[in-house]
Amino acid sequence: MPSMRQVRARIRVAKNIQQITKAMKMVAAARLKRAQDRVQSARPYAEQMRTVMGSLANAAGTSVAHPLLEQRTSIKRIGILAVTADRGLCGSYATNILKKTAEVMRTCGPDGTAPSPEDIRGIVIGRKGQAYFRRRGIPVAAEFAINMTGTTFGEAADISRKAQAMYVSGEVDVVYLVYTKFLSALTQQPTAVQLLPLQTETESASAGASEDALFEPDAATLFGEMVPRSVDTLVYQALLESVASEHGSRMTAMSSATDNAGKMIANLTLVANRARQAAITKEISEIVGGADALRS
Amino acid sequence: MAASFPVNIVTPERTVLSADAESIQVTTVNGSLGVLKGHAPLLAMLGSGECVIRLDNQQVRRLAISGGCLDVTRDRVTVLADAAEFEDEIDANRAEDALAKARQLLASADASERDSAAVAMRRAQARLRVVRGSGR
Repeated sequence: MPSMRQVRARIRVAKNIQQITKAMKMVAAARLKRAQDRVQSARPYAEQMRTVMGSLANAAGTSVAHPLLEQRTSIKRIGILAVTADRGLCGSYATNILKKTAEVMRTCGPDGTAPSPEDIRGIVIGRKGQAYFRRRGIPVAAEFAINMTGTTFGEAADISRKAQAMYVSGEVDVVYLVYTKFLSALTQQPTAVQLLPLQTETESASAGASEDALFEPDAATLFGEMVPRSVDTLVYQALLESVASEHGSRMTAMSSATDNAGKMIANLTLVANRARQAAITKEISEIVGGADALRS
Repeated sequence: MAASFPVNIVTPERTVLSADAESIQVTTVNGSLGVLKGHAPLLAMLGSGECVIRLDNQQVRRLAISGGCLDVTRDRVTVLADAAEFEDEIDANRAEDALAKARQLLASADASERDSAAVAMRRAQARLRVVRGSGR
């Protein structure tokens, strides 16, 4: 049985840890709220963008080509834009997104085969992803830091323009975007989508917005302007959702860590009390024994 | 009283304005453009400039808008802007600084930087125009 001193020391340690995890949980909760608001307020723009792109694609028909839309027949090199975490202590968040990235790498080649690592180009956001790509010897074309407190559209555009430049120059023939979709504070889902070439939804039936609309200056110019912007929007959304997911994941992880620390403290307190009782009992029996010995 | 229609002004970061308006006037790449109810469907590219909205309660709101596009359909108007600020949100001093810097850059820069400098200058001018205009 461990001595009282040892048990007390462990209780102290557990309490210190609990304080830290509790503080982290509260910080994450506050930031999660803000991140969620940002995701919410970015949604209308993304939706409007989709409708505008839809009606543009309809009106322009097949006559308008854009380098970011053109599907390439032979896919040699693959770009992976991975939105990962900068820091740990967020449960399985970092592992999950890296697992998804690995899955994309295994299946993104032609006909669902695994391309060789030299044919992959990483555009990596977050330190965890950078370490992962480096360890596996996968070339990284660009690295970005993730801004956990307030991702701006400008930052997203920088990342997105880099991916677009790589695609247009032929450095890569397809770009996948791997990020974590934010479903709720408790559930986040690692997701992979094809970013480039951009897939436009041409549901001609929807909205009926396509009916002989006017274009100013003209459809082709508008298209050229809006296509890159709509890619930026996708990246921006992915960043916001990932940030919210990371905060949510961290909050859950730190919440259960705090609970576990509490359980541990309760257990240790029990052990400490038992040890104290045992010591007292022992002392009493020694005194009684001594007194008996003197009397007789 | 003129008929009104719903107007939404959204930027990537937030919804700036969502209200019913009687008219909206924006600056497109080809110049100023006004929209009333019943306007034909239109998609227009926006430049940097002023945007004036007359709400259905006769209130007039002025914004500085840069980049993006205007989407007019039969029943609503949407402005997808890169940036949009109300007159009271604009920092006049900052816009002044930006304008001076852009002018300087425009004078000294080579061809590759001239475009972005010109864009920055127009953006700053649009902000200033909106701020100054409100003082009338």
